[in-house]
Amino acid sequence: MSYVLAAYLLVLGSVAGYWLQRKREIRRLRRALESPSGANRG
Amino acid sequence: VKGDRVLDTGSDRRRAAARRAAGALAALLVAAWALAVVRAPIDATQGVIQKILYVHPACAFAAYLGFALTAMGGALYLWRGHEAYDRLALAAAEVGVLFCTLVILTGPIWGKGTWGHWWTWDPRLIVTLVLWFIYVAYALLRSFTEGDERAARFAAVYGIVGLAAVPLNYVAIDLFGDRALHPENLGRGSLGAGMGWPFALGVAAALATFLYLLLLRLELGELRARLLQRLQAGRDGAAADA
Repeated sequence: MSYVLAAYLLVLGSVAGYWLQRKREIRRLRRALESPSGANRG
Repeated sequence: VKGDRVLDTGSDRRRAAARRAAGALAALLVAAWALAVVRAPIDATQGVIQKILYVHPACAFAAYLGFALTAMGGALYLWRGHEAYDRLALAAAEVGVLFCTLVILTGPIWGKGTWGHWWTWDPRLIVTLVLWFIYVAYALLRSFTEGDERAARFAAVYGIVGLAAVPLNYVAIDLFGDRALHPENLGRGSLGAGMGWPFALGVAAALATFLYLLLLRLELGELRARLLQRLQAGRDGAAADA
């Protein structure tokens, strides 16, 4: 049972981790693009 | 350029709506899949560990789709020369690598529970590892050469050639016959009673999640390209002033 749980948690955790990381990066880029001088901070 | 004009065009809104719809579909399918996996019968031979079947091949199908889209995006980029196709190829490769990594991680967990060891040099496992290396190399190449047109063209050819590893990965078991330890590919009627639905929902959930993450990654690529464009315009303006 622990092997099955490990496999499912690994999959769900990795997908959620990738999703959160990409969402954070999109927010950062949007902020940079919204500010007139933002290109320098991107 | 004002931020709202940069970020709120009609096509941006359409893309955001498509991404949200894909996200809702993925969430719905993942919930249905989780329920189906919990309710699926326990396999008489392998026991509960057989339930990894509902996630392991599903991730492989999502990875295959990602690598096929990488080749398609690359071919379209070579043909038409639009950067959007190159961004599609890169986004699909990256999300494909994520799913291929999950195949490589869930497989050994299943192997340890059934064969007694994490890894064996079985043809299917070797080709999967090679497939993973091919696209990790692709993603690394692209991250080191962002915005480089020559690298994009090289990567397009590489992505097309690399796709040959996908059918090889699928038929590896048939090619090596009895020497292969990995179970054979699923066919009609090879699943026990009550196992078809959780399997089908697992594949559908993985493909919908792949689509959602691909759209998210495409948005990221688009924003990066706009920022690079702004930086370039700023540099050109400064050079002209000087």
